Amino acid sequence: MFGRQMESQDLALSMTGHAPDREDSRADSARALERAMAGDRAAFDELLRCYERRVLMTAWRMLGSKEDAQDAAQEVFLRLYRHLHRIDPKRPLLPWIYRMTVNVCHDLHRKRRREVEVNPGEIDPASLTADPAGEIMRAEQKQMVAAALQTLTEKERAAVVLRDIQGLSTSEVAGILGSRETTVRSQISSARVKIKKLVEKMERRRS
Amino acid sequence: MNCADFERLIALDVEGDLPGPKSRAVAEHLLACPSCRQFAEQVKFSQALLKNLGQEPADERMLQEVRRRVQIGLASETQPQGFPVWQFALGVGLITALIFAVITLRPHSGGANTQFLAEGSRPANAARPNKDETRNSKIDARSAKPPRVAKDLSANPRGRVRSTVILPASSAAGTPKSAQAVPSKKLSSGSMSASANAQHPQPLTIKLLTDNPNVVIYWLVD
Repeated sequence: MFGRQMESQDLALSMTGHAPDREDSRADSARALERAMAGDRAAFDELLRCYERRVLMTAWRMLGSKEDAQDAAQEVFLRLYRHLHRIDPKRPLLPWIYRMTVNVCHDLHRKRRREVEVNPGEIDPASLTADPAGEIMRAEQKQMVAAALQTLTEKERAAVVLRDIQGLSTSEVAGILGSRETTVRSQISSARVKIKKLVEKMERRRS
Repeated sequence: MNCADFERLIALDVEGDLPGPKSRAVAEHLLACPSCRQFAEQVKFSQALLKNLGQEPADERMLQEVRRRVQIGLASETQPQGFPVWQFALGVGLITALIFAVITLRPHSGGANTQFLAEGSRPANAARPNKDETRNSKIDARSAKPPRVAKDLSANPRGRVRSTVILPASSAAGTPKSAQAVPSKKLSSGSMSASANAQHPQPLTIKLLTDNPNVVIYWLVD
């Protein structure tokens, strides 16, 4: 059951561009997976386009770097291709994709251990609108939160990215991370308190 | 519970992650505690920022770059489906070779009887009967007992099987002394040797004793 709803919505949007009919989309998702398992490269491309945003954004927030996120996304889809014959097409693919993304991000993070620093000077001027001061402030706030994410432990970061950024439920996060719900709640609570304190500190420093 | 305890619950409650009773307890505490109310507001603010990160659209160039890299990676990948025939064949070949090597090169242990030494046919042995042979010149029923046979075999480093030649009475009379010593060494079956008839030529009987006391082989040579 888990992941079917979001998964089918993603696939329907990626393929048709309008609101999905849940049953049709679920069937489309399963068919695409089965065709990909049978060696249909076009079906694999459908799956790639269906999940690429989620994978990329999750990896970006977990790793704090766009380049690393691209590396992670590439690895996730290559692993998906390699493991196609082991995946059960009757089960939703999204939890598997998230689990693989988290694992790949953990691997990459351990390899690189890169410090991510907040640098408000990197704001793209092209993104500014009629309210440049407000845009700059919002961009700075985003960077503050993104930097605060990087101060969390790997498990806390994975839990909070899946729960608060990707919008999954606690039980879904627990299923992906292979933890108990109580453990996930504890990690999420701790992470939110840490982020709140860091944001508060940065706000104070900025003002 | 004090305010520090409530902070963790508040952090969960702002997103509806607390079950009913705990959520009600937090609500009651927030009504009475201004500092926790402020804490809750700050958590909501940081949570809103966090959620904004998720709503940020992915850069299309990043997505295209990911697709390009995946396509390049896929081009170098092998087929994900299909039975890997050559790997299977290689594996089977290696396993077969390994099993064959183990069987052929395995040192012979006491379990199997694959080596046969016909001691009775060796003239050197027959010509030099030792003390045991002299002592056992009569039919020794005890030699048929499994423990005794096992003891004899363990004393023989050459092999796992001993042979005993049981000559017919007529031919035994004409054989040299050294040859007669051999059958007398291991005559363990009185029924076989007693059946010799001097009047009629009898077949040569070779009794093979193995280190398995339950296995005794008789070889009748016409």
